[in-house]
Amino acid sequence: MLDLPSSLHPSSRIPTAASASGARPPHHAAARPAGAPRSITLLASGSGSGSPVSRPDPARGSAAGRHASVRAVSHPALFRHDSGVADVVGSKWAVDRRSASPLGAVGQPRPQRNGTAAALPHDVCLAILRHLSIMDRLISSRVCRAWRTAAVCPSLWATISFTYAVAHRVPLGAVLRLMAWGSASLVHLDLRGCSNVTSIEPILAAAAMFAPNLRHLDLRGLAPLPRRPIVPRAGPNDRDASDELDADETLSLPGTFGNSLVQLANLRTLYLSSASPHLTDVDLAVGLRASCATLTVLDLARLPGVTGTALALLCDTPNAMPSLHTLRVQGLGGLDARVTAAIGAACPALRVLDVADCTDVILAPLIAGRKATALTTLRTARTNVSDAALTAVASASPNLTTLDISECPHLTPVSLSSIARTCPSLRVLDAESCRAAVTDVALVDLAVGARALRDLRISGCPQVTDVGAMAVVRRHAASLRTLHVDGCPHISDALLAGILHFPPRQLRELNVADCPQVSYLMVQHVVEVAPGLRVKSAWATRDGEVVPTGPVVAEGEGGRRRQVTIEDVVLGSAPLCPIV
Amino acid sequence: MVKLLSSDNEKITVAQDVAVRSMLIKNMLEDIGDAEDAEIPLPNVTARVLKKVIEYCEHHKNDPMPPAEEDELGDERRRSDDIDEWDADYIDVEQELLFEIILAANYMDIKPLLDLGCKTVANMIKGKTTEEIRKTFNITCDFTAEEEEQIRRENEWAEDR
Repeated sequence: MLDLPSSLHPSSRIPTAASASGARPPHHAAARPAGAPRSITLLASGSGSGSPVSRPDPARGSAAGRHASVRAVSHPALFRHDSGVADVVGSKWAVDRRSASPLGAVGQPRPQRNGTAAALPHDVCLAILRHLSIMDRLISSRVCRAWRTAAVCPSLWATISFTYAVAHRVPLGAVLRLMAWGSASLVHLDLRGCSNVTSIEPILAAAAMFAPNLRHLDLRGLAPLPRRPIVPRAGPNDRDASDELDADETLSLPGTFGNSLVQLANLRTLYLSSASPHLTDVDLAVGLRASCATLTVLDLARLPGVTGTALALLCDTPNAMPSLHTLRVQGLGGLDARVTAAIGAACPALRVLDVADCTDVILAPLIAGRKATALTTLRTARTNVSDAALTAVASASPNLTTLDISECPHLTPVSLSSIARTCPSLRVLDAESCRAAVTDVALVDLAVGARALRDLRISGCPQVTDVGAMAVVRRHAASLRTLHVDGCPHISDALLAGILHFPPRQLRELNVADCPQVSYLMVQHVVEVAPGLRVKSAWATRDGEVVPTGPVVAEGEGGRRRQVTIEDVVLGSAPLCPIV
Repeated sequence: MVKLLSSDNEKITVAQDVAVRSMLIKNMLEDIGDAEDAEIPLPNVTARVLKKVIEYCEHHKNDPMPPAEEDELGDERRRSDDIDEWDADYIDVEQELLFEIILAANYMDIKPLLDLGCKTVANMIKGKTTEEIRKTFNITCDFTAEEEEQIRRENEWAEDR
């Protein structure tokens, strides 16, 4: 053993590393919770028989020893996307971390100087690698045996996530390998931006096999919806297209996702928005049975195969999801009265509800039979939500701070006036293109009722005039941070004059683009000259073009960036409106 | 005051509040109780390294004690670029001494110093290729050709930066 004092290396001084590597059961497969279903059905690889195969039970193979369990882990069916992984994960590297001495270099020790990186104890190697990014860890693992042994230590892989700079290069095989390294230590898996991972099926299957302790799983955006709708299969003429679809569909049998998901009984947060077009109601209803008692965040947005039925099945008993505080289901179909009533009864702790783009959502039953909800954030943008439903929910949600009702065509000023009365903590209101609802009267009510209003976005609301906007500015001069009134034709320089007169000192964002009665010079004055104002970004229209302005540099000629000055504006033939 | 005995039999006396930055010494002191003139032997640390370690403990004697157990999630978000000025200056030593300090900090259980050393080494690794790392730390590759090839294939995607 090299030339370290014998008392140095094995005596572990790092509690986490020591307990993590020491207390682990000998095989990661054996770390699965007792009693959990053990067999996972997967499709055989292309060269195989074509019939579904089951993973051998590791407990039964225990007589064959360590190698048997490693074999089981590296079943080729799981890794058919990357045959190399099976070789590697199944090779001795997977067991090296237990069989090798802390210093690696098994068998043939070679002379090395004391006080070099190669002679460091295993725990110190781990502590160093812990400070490195995943990429640097992988590079380091190629240096020598000792470092390799440290790099495959499970405690190092409790969290797997990639920076955006590298995420798009990560191959599926690498993700699976890292998951196998982490095994029972893996707690947090975040694959956002990993565009090489196009199917979540092997990820879920691997998580079910290796990572029973996974708490946070983020697979957002792995299969973004195509911009154009997929052309449905027509007939024999569409041979090519239908072949492609067939090939795609064979990736998953119905229920495969569910079988995998149900193994992850410790999930706290699950983000699946745009993760897979193949996820179905059955997958979720079956798969989240085990974890619904502990889930705190559930994101099922933009999953074309999922409807409200999945939620109705999950929420079939009152208090079925007692800890859930965030539910995002943008674009989900079938959110009828039965589903929302079930959600309301099953999720008493719900704070954030996002049903944007769920066109025909029936919202009112959410509060059926209850006096108050814990809701702080509600997003119903681009839905047909009615005044009655929104008012009912808002009146039962005294803690509401954020409300997004952009492009809700059926809302009227009644909603806003009522919300202003019942939600005194409202801080953020997004009501872009909520054309019928946002009027001066509604804004005056808001100015009086919502005492903490911070961000107001009412772009494209034709009924708003300076009077309404000014009421908000005057009343909230101390708190207003964002004001978007772009595309409101009646907004004029009078509003800006008002801003100069009662300066909202927190104002950071001002958007007055596409307001024909606002002069560019006036915007410049407010943004750059006015004392006491620190607007960071502003947009205004000059010569028919929307330009960013303010202390932020604007785009100059030929793409060169330069500071916009008052002289520019005067010479630029901006309309000079009389200042009120 | 606490008397420490280095591996090369040099006696070094330090104030108690400095010495207890080392969990090893702190536990030993608790074990032996109030034995005033007891000597604490440190058979793995030479006097040169011990003096350097004590310099660190002197400077940090008023810091709050680090938490005993690391937060499970927090450790992944540790950053290695938040070394303060004095520490950076202190740890700017030749490589051999750096590793001896790390080993001593590990043995004497001085977590912040171990952390500082590991961060420094991590910073030396960052952005380098495998070959550059070997060169920097004078490490010989002890893989067989077959193993080397296997790991190379495995990490191909991580190579070009």
